[in-house]
Amino acid sequence: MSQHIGHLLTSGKRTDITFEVDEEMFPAHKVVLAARSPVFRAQLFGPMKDKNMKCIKIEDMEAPVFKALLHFMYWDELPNIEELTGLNTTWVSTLMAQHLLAAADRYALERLKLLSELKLCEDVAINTVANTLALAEQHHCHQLKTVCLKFVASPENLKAVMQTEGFDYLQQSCPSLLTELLEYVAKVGDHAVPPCLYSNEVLDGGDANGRRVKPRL
Amino acid sequence: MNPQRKRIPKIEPFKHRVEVDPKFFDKSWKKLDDAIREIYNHNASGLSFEELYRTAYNMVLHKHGGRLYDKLAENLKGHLREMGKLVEAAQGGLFLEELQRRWADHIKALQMIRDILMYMDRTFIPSSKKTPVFEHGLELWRDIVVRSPKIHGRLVDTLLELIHRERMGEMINRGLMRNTTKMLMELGSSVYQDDFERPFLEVSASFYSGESQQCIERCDCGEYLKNAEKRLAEESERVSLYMDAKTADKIANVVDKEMLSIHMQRLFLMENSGLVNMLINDKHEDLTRMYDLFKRVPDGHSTIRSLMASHVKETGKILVTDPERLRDPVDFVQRLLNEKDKYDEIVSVSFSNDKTFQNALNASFEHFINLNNRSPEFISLYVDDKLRKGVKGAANEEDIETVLDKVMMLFRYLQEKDVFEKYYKQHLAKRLLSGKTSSDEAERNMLVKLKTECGYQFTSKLESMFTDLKTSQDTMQSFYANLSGDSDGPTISVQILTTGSWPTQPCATCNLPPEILGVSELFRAHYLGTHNGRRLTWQTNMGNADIKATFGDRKHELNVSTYQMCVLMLFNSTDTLTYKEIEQNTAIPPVDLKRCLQSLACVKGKNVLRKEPMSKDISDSDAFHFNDKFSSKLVKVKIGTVVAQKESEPEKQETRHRVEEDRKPQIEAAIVRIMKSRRVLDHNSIVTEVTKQLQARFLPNPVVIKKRIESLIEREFLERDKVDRKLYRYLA
Repeated sequence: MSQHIGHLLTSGKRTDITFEVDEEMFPAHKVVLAARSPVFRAQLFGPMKDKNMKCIKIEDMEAPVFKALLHFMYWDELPNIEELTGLNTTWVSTLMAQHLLAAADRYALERLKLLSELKLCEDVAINTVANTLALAEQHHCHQLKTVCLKFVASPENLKAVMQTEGFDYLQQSCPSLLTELLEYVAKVGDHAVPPCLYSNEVLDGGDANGRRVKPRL
Repeated sequence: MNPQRKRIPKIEPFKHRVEVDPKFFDKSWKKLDDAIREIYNHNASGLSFEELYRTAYNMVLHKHGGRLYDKLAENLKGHLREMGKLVEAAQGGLFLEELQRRWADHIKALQMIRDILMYMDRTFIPSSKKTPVFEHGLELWRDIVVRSPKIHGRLVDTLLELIHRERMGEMINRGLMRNTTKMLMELGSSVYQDDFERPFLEVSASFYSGESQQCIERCDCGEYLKNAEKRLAEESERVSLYMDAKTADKIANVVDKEMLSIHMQRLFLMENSGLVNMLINDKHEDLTRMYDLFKRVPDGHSTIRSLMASHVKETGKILVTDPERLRDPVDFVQRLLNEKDKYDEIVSVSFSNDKTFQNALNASFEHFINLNNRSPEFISLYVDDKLRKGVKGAANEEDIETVLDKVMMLFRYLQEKDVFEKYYKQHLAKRLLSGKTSSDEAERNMLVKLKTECGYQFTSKLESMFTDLKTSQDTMQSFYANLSGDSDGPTISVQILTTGSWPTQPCATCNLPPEILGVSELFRAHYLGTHNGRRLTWQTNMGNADIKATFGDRKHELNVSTYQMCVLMLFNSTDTLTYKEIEQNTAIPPVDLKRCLQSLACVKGKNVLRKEPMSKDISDSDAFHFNDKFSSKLVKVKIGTVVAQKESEPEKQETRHRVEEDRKPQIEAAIVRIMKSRRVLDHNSIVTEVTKQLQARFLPNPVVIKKRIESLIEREFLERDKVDRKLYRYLA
């Protein structure tokens, strides 16, 4: 079925609404949008709708992102990044996934949000992780957040990430995250302690695996 | 259309704008605040959803969800207080309308606000466990407007007042009522129940309490019930039009209680119009109404049932003990049948064939029918009457069938079915032997019904009576076929009765006239020739004869009993005989002879003999003359038909005595059967078991049972336990 609906978009026939995004025009079908997103439903058919609405201006979004959003809503799949942007790097696809995550959250497209989240989890990298982490925090993506925190906290990555521009942004926008990050770093540190620290003394605690050890009497 | 330039889109790593503006929240909130005001002022068309949604979205994203929520609540409260004031200010009748209008406004506003704040609802609310926007808006409406002290009381009072007016016959605005109750329901079922339903039910209870009090003073039972029915229908309609469906049962219960339950006894027992009156006068419509109305009232049906049952028992008792009625058995039974029909109809028409009512009826009938111990006899007489004469007006078998079925219903009520059996046998014998049954098929039908009801044993002897007659016919045919020589003598038709199947009669002496003797001996020889080891005894107290008699120049054919024949034949040789001479010659027992002579000489129109003196009673010194002055319009004259009669007192005693005698062995057989299987049993249990086993035929008397047990002990079938005197043991 997504083929049929998808073709509606590509053919551009019988569109009844146009979105202006970043100076580009995107015609679409109200019914399809309303069916896919409760936000669009409220906007296009709810009590707040403007009766003579023909064109809606959308701010705070990039045009390719909106195009990808439309594509998802009609085809129910992530678009081909190369087609969209002409570029084919992991870096670009990660960035696109970040934008799509925010857009999906804004327009209540749960599945798109999930797909983007998964993609970001896969492609976590030093040069993008800080931004991704901020994003995950703001948009309540717990799994992604955990993955990012672990990634940043690991000793190989920490220093490098702290050098990135994204990390400054992170400090500014989500200071509380840094505290969480510290905790993760501490945990990692725990696990890295060499076993010779543990002796046969009676210890009130667990062994390296966290199991309680019976004191040897 | 812009030419699509192939520009390479620039994608930056995603960053939400970091808000450094300390006034960010206030500025954003102001936009929303203004928008909400416009919404409440019916001015929403100028607003841009896109912008407002994005504003709220950014606020939440920047972690201001909590503050936004609180600000929103404050804002709504403010608007609601204003609306509340407008509602308070409304005068009189406009109060509800104003409330409705404001409510509609508020709902519309809430919907828009919810849409704008959708992002907060989706992301902030779940984690903070606060109430979603729309629901919160409803709660605030409930608390600030509906439950505001100035509005709440007035709202409830207005609603109840309108309902009261409608109950008194006025027309009210039902649409407004519906919208108002709908509003309360949307605020939560507890709001509806606490703020409206409960006071409604309370007020209704006192209303109907007053109404019922007034009504019961004014109206009779039927009218009162009609009114109650009307009110119930009215309340049901009211609920369906402007209340929650769940209120329907509750208000029905209130009306039931106030109008019906509380006054139940008084209504039923009302003089000249209560339940008993309705039953007597077959007021089916009123009874149906009563049955339907009291279906839901606790003990309603059971009270009706017991009142009906006791009434039936009473009227039935009067019926069966009224000495007037007892004179004519057929009429007696007919009245019972009519009574049964009447009540069957009431139960089927008015009480929807309710099984419990049918059972109560059956119990009542069973009770009073058995109050008169002649009931079994009378019922048998009734059947006898119908089988002789056929059912009046019925040309076909069907109606007889119906009548017999109805009689069977009465039969089932009898506790002493063995008494019935005895009488039925007697009456059947008389019918069969005199050939006076109107339809053979009807007779057989009746037997089948009895067999179905009581089993094979009940009817086996009766059936053999029929068989005997059939066999007799065959025997007669073969007799006359074999008879050679003089067919000059009188023709006889013999019915050979198997002893034991037919009601036993003591065999009396009687000298048959010589003409008869001859041919009867021939028959005896023929019969005993073909059947070895049997004994034939002439039953001279039964049987009849056709005699050709000449009175002067008139010839008549007389149909007389055997005894009468013997007497009359004597007058072939002489015209006058004294009583003593007749007695000597015929050897008929005096009681029977006197009765026989009475029927020959003392009955008007049938006096073929003339008695001297002309008194009613026969005395030993009477003389009898052949009455050549006898005349009759008919050529064939019937004298002394053997009709089944209601028994005289001594006869009745005799029968009862025989029944009691018959019961003894049955009781003993039951005791032995029970003891054989149980081995050891105490006295009370034996009595219970015996009663259970025999109740299909009769109700055994515990005293008799005790006597039978003792008899069995004497005959060493049972023994008493040494230790416990109440325990019995079976002796193999």
